[in-house]
Amino acid sequence: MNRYYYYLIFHNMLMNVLAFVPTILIKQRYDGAVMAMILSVAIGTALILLFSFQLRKLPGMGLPEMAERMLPFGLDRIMNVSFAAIYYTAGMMTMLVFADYTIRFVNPDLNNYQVIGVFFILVGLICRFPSDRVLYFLEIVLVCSAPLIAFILIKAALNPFLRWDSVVSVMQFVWKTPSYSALAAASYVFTGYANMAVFNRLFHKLDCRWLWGVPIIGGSILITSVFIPIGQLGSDGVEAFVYPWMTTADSMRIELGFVERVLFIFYILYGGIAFVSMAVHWHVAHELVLSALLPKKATEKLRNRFSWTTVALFSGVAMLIGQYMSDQLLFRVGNWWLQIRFAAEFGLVLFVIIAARRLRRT
Amino acid sequence: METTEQTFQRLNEQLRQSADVVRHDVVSDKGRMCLLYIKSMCDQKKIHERLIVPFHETGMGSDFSTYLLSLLEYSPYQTAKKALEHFQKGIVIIFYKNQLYLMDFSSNPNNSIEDILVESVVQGPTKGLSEDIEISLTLIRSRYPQPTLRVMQGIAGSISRTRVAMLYDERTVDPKLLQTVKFTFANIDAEVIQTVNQLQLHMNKKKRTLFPTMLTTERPDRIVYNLAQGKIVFLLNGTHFALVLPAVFFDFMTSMEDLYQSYWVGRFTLVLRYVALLISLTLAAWYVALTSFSPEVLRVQLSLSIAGSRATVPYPSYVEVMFMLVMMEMLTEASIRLPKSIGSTATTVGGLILGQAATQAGLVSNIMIIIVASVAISNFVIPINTMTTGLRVSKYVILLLATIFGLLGILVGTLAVVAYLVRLDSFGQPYLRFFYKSPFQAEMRKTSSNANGGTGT
Repeated sequence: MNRYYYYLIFHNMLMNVLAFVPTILIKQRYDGAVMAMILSVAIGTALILLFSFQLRKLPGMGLPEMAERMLPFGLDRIMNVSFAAIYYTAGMMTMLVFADYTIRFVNPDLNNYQVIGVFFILVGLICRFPSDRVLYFLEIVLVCSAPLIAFILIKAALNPFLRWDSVVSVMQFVWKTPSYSALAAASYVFTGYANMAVFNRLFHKLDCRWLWGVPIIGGSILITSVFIPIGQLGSDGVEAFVYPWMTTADSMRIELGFVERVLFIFYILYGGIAFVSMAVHWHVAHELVLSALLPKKATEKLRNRFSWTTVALFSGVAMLIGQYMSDQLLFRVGNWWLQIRFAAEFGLVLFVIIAARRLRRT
Repeated sequence: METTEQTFQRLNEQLRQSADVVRHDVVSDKGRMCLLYIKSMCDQKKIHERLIVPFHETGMGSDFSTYLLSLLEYSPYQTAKKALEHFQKGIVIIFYKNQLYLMDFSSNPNNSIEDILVESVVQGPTKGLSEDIEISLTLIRSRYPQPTLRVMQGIAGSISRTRVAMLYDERTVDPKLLQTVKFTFANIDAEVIQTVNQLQLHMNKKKRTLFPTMLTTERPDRIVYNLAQGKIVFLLNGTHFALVLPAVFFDFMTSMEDLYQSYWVGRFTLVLRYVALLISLTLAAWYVALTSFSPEVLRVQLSLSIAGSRATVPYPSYVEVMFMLVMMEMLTEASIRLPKSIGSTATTVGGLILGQAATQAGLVSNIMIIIVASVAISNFVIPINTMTTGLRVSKYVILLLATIFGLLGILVGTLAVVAYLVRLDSFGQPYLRFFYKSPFQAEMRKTSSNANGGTGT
């Protein structure tokens, strides 16, 4: 059971490559991104440890259950909905980015609507699954794609065309003070634990024994995700690309593989990860919205109807936003989102700490 | 209140309408005995030996009714309605000295033990179950000599009144599961049930299903293996298949032979089966996506040779694929229906000649033939037939998505099939998940139902 907690953390680490994190950090590579990465490992690990050890004291409780007991009427609902908005945006951003990937690199003749539409239908269905089923789905996709992703990352790191002087020259800027946005972006790797806001309902004995692995794996994924594009595309040249990772993947080839171009393997693998990440985020958002807005004594039928409406609303809004999103705007919104998320993360951890104290006493 | 004699007369009149109902009166010094039975359903030799010969034998005195009562085949007469019902199954109604007796002399000509045809293995038991439920029970009991094995009898179908036996091992079965299954079985609302697949459809709460959530098998070794694992087995009179439940996705992917082989060989064949699963699900879709959307995925040489072999084909790739897939499905269906002696001819004509001719006529490309052949072959690698058919259908979903969205369609389609499988459950057991033997499973199931259904109520 406990492995699912680590899956939640791990899949977010992989998502890091797909989100705007490398782009943002690469943009600020001479202005403190390196320091931000080092700091974020410390901050992220501290947050995870604090959160997990406090959450252990609240077995089987999701965020809504805690909020209901701690906050006055109304305030807990507002909190749930605002957290839901953050999770929802996470899922939506993933989707919009992935749709952009698809159109740019794989299928230029599809339009935005089609790609987003087909994803939303499926994610909409999956995010209504019971929580345990979402976790099983996550596990299957993750276990199937992780080995190949590891292969690609290792292959990229061992690539003879990787220019280590570019990497070293960027590393020299380590003593710059990082900006808030760089810190927010870099700490995204460690955010996976936040999904426990809903999934904690399933966990009764949270096992924190393996958490020491988080800074090691998270740190190395973060470092590879920034430095491999820099090494591959050049410390100055890397700035010219909108999606440095896709270009990096496209610069590699498997000489003896069935599929020669790594780009497509990368696309399929990360497609699965993006998909499952979206399902997880939307599931959390969906559950939060439901527990915030649904009356406590709702019948099964009302619940179903409400849940369908929520999903329809989710998809509708995303379709609408997708229409007006250019990649520049997407990038800017993503940046904002990362910053808001960073602050909210502190809020969440603080809330859980207080909840653990207060609820244990009563 | 009618007398027993009147009752017998009434039964007689009701039943004598059928040509195969026999009324046989025997008279001796002991008095008169009337027998009423269906000739085609009863073992007449047995009736002769057990009833008529003793009736005429001297020395029995007037104790013939005691003799009747002591016979193993005897069951007491209760109501006319019940007697009629049993009568249809081969019961002899005896009227003797103002008393009615029911004797079970039913004969089942269909009591041979069937060879295993559908789930054959190279080494392992080759004889399956019998169409006669008693013989099947004997077979299973002799393979599973445990005092904890429980057999419950029941009836399915309001018209067919098929005899059903439910087997489980009391030691290993989950009592909650047993309750649910008993409840579900008791609530079956069907008129005619003749095969275990039908039973499965009626026990399933959902109306439209694609994948089986209960396992149909004809192998006694699989049944025994599953009983030991705490599963429940249903046997049905009149079919030599059994229903095992709950069943999860992995059960359908294992062949009994995996257990009989050395570890690595077993693993190897298991991996082979999953590769076959992937091929049969996605290969046709890959062809469409790669030829019509993203030829740059493959090596240049391969892309060129595909394009070269498609040069004569006037249609887009999805038409080509659909054409060949439909032909293949027809062949599969036809080879099931055709008599065995012509079957191989049809396959040869259909498979070889049609494929060859279609390529030469420029309707489909050479590579397409390879793809259709591999899809067809790999589909049948999956050991359980009901799963094979489910997958056969789901490949079209992925094909459709690939036709519209290319690579993205394959990705989404595959994930959709996985998600659908994850969502299914078989009597509370999640259908698809990794690593089944988790100690937290029961706890998790409990809490997940609380978390998702509990907030509302």
